[in-house]
Amino acid sequence: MTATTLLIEKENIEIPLKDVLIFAGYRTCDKDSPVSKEYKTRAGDALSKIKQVFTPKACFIRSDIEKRGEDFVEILGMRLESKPLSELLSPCKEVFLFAVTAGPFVDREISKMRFSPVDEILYDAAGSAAAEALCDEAERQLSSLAGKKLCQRFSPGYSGLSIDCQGDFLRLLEAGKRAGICLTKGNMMAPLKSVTAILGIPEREGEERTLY
Amino acid sequence: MNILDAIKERRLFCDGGTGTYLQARGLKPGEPPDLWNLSKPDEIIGMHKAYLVAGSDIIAANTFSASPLRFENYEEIIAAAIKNARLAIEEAGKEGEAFVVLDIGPSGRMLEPLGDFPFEEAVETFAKIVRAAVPYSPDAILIETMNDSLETKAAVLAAKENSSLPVFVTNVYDENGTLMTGASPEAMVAMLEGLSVDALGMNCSLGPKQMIPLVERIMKITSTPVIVNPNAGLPRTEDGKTVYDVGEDEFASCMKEMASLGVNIMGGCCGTTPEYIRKEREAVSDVPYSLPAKKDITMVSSFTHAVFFGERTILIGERINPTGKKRFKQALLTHDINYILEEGLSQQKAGADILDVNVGLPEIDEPSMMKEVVSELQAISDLPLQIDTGDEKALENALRIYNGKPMINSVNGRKEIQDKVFPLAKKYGGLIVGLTIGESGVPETVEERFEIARKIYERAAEYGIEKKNIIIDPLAMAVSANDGSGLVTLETVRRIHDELHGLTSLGVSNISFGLPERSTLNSAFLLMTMTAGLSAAIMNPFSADMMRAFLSFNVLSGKDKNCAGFLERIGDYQIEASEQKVIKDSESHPSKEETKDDDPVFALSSAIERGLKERAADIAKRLISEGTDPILIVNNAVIPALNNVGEGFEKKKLFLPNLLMASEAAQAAFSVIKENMKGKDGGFDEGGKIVIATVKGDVHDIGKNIVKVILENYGFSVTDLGKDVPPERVVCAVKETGARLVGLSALMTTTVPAMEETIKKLHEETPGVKIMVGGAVMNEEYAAMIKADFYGRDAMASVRYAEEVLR
Repeated sequence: MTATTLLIEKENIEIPLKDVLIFAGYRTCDKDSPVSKEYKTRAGDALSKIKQVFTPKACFIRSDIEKRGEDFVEILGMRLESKPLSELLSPCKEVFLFAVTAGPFVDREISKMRFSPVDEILYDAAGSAAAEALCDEAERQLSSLAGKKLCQRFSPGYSGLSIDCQGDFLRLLEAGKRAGICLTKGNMMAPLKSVTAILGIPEREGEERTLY
Repeated sequence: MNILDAIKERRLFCDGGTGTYLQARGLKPGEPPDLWNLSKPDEIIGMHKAYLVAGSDIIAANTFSASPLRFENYEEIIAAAIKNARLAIEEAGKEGEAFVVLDIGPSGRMLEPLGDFPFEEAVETFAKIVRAAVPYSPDAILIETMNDSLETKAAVLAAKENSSLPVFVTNVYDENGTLMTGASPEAMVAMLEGLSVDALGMNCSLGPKQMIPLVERIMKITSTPVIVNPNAGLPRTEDGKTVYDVGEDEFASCMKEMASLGVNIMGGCCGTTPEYIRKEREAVSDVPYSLPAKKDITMVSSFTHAVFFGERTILIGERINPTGKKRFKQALLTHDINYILEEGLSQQKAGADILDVNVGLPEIDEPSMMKEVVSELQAISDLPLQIDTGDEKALENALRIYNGKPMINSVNGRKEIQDKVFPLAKKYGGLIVGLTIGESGVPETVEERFEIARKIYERAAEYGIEKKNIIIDPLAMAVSANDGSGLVTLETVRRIHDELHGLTSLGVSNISFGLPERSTLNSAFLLMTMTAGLSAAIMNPFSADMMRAFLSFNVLSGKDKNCAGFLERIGDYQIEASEQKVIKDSESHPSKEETKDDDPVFALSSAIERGLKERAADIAKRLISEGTDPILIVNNAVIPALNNVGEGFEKKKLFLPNLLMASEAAQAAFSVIKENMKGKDGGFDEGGKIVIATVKGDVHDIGKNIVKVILENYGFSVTDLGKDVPPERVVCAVKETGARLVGLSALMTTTVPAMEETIKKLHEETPGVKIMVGGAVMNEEYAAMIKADFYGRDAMASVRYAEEVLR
């Protein structure tokens, strides 16, 4: 099959404030102190703004795993070298590749906050939380498309998988055209709050795996 | 007949989807169709022929992604693609009737400042494609599927600078009715007509039905032929295959509606096949054809929206200008871009529609400063800009990278200036301010100023610039120097408005120069000029008097629907209310300690510890106004407060939010103190210089940003190189700044080698420089292994190490 746009309704995306706070280092703090309360309030403001400006986009492609070895898999001619990934996908013949982005306006909003270090961090955290929420939504939709639970999502840059594959990844997904995601020279993505990932489709229901 | 003549006479039909067609013939996902020009030319010729037979007049050469960024042999691919298209036309017996266009798709890179692709590199990339195609004589260039306005502009400039071929542009609009990076259809029309493209419109993304309202919006304002190439609806998966939800007949009936709206060139995009084109052509055959009527609409645009002139008076914020502003001059001299950007953002908040940008100072390199400020401003503000400079190079720099259609300030009645500015305005597009200054200065009479205005229109026309792209500034001159000067300006505004039906703009505040109570006079004059028909006021949006007058005029002249603008903003200009707000703010954070002891130094310390930034700034202001030595404020209030918080953090009694909020409050106090330290600016930087960066390949920089904020508050001068920083840049920055300490951050396991490489380079090229590292993947052992000098587990640990090394 070819790359396809995944329709994401902005209204359906829930971005929990809890996630923003985790990204912003709130986890360990005296939650009753006025400072923490103020920090939380401002995190809430950041989240509202990000919710207002984010323009979620996503696309995916479904493919067979063409080749596999102990420490690599090959998908659509793209060789992904990572032992944990190969293990993760062991119960699967097929995978989804997907990309999501919270869109360029999140980047701009974060950039606007450069005059206020606290807000810069909170907006960045809210942007990350938005990207996470989009991944969850993409995963939900793809799982329903496959009709079963999928393996844990795995992204380039983790567990030994180099981000050098990012370019191939985005090309296969036609992510530029479908989601406005571009590659930077360092194989990063722009907009900033974008994620690419692989989801293994286990052959038999109940065989989905997690990394750890 | 050439393609432009053909458009004048009849509706032309493009081809449909390429990827979809070729995938049905064995093209694999991810396999570039462009390569088939060489490996399977017969398939490509066959596809073109199928479209020609179905009724396409315009065949896009199969060059959508034939870019030097992707293929070393892009020139060979492009040559073969155009030849294949020509051959198909020949074989279909359509020579002289059908046309071949060079097809240019997006580069796949995001332009700066959102991404890392420099504008000029983008232009050069597209230029290479154009130069490779020109020898094979395509009939036009089609720049398509562009979802970013700035990249679109780069491609158009490349096409125009490297060929004399007609240029057609189609953009991708999403379900919000904008490009992915934000531009509305109106903004795109403003920019593309400014760049003098030969046809504009949209393709891909949406199905034909969803495109109709967008096409309507374009038709309302454009004078340029319009192209529409929709997808066959939205794709979905069915039995593992991608299918589109709009069939040939439904597609054709939508396209008939488009034809009735006046679309001049139509075809299809993803999911459409020769059959779609055949039915489309059939369906629209009885719809009468005409070119879009010339519209007398004046607009400028940013990367998101267009601002229209003539409906109500437009407010142009004048504050980005060093004239008479000491602090602004200082910001230019010390390259304090953030100060300039803040001026921009605050004016936007205050209600400006457009921002004037003047960064001219004899001591600085204006062309490079202008480029930087425009680029940075359009990264954070979506207001259109007015490029205000007398420096030709600075003007061109700004016009090139400007993401939209700007205002250009200015030309006047002098030929010498016109000959410099008009050609640039013609090339890049812009609404040009024409000052009524003649060869011998500013005339005193209405008649003479009026005459200069008329001549400016005439001269512009010689350069092919329409009257709608000129806005006359009849000049407000100090009434203190000449009793009648206000009347002369007013009458000139009125006559240009009534007799020439032209637009006017005015730097209103000049009228009160040399008199007291300037804002009273300015606001009265503003009302008078608006009544006389002023189209745009260049003014200070922070002047409450002027803003009250501005908002009131709009309401009273019936230009503020439901008084909405007035109701939304007038509250900002009630003096009593803003005073109450200050009192309320300080009351909202009562402190037992403060009520016990109102020593302001103690109060400042306490405000910082509690992260109250407004309060910290207020107290610092009070202390300064009472004559307290700034150094004492820092030593007795700011530093002890930060130390308390820092120690609390180290003892795990306080946490990251406390640390950050205290830092922010301290910064607020610092900036007040710095502003008041005449000649001693930067005097707190004796803490030492540090370069910090997130290493190459790593994009996570929150941790690094936190460390930076805290280090700065402890008085260190931090050069932040950002994220994804190559080792060479770190080395270079260390050499340039003379920093003796470097902080490196990495979050992903895959980027640790980059960190190691950076450390190795630093040790080799800048011996003696200490390196501290941090980030989620780091620990003490790992840090030692890659030969870092220190592992900082958190921000405070970095501060302590910096103190050890640098103090």
